[in-house]
Amino acid sequence: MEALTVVVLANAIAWLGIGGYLAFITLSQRRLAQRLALLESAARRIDG
Amino acid sequence: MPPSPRHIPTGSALAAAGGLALAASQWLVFRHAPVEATMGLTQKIFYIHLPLAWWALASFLVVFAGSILFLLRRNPATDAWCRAACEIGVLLSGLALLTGMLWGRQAWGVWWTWDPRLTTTLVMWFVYAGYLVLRGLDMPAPRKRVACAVLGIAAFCDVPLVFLSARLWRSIHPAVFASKGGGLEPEMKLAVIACTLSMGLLWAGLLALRTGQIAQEERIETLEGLAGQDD
Repeated sequence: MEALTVVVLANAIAWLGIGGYLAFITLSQRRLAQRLALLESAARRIDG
Repeated sequence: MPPSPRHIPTGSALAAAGGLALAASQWLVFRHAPVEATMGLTQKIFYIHLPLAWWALASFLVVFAGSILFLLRRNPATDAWCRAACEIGVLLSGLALLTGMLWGRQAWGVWWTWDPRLTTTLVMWFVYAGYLVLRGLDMPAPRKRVACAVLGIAAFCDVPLVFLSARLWRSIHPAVFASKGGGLEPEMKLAVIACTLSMGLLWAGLLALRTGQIAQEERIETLEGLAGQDD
């Protein structure tokens, strides 16, 4: 492999890894928002 | 500091600032720092590999300190910091291993060798990956927190070995700052410092973001438990 390819590949791996973790955090946040919305609608039903 | 969902916007801002700073420091890496005489362009991997490895070790130090604090005070908030720090540590050390393998292929002609630094790092990665597996097990939360805290303390035994392995044993892995001055040109040193600080900002952001999210998750779980009791 050419040196430049290796350097670009190493940087791409690092950015993809961190990006992947950010995507995981975003997905988890979306799931938490859904769970919270379900709880809120259940609470509203009980209040109503 | 007790984690709360309020950490999420702070963490997002820190992570964004860190990401931008890390992207900007690439200018120092590719334009300002000279090409190393022996390794050539391949040496540039060092500017991403070193910050990844150092902040992974910092994450495990947080797990260690947090685990001791948890066992002393039994505060679930401390446990949330440990969980987030371990996830980030496993991610960063995994990325450091992968970027190191690319370096190794170019510098030593092999993807992997059972060198003391590489071996202790791989062992560390597996031990902390095991910690995350333990986190995922279905067991009562208080018991799981204690088990994780004990493992978080025991696992740290390998971290000083990783750091000192290149100095203690005959290792082919370069010990960057072992000799006085580190053998780095001032421009290279500036690029390393910029990349390390930027990665630190990103690390702090990710840690705050994930810890805030874990705090939110635990609150929702408590509410779901209460709602379940009402039904």
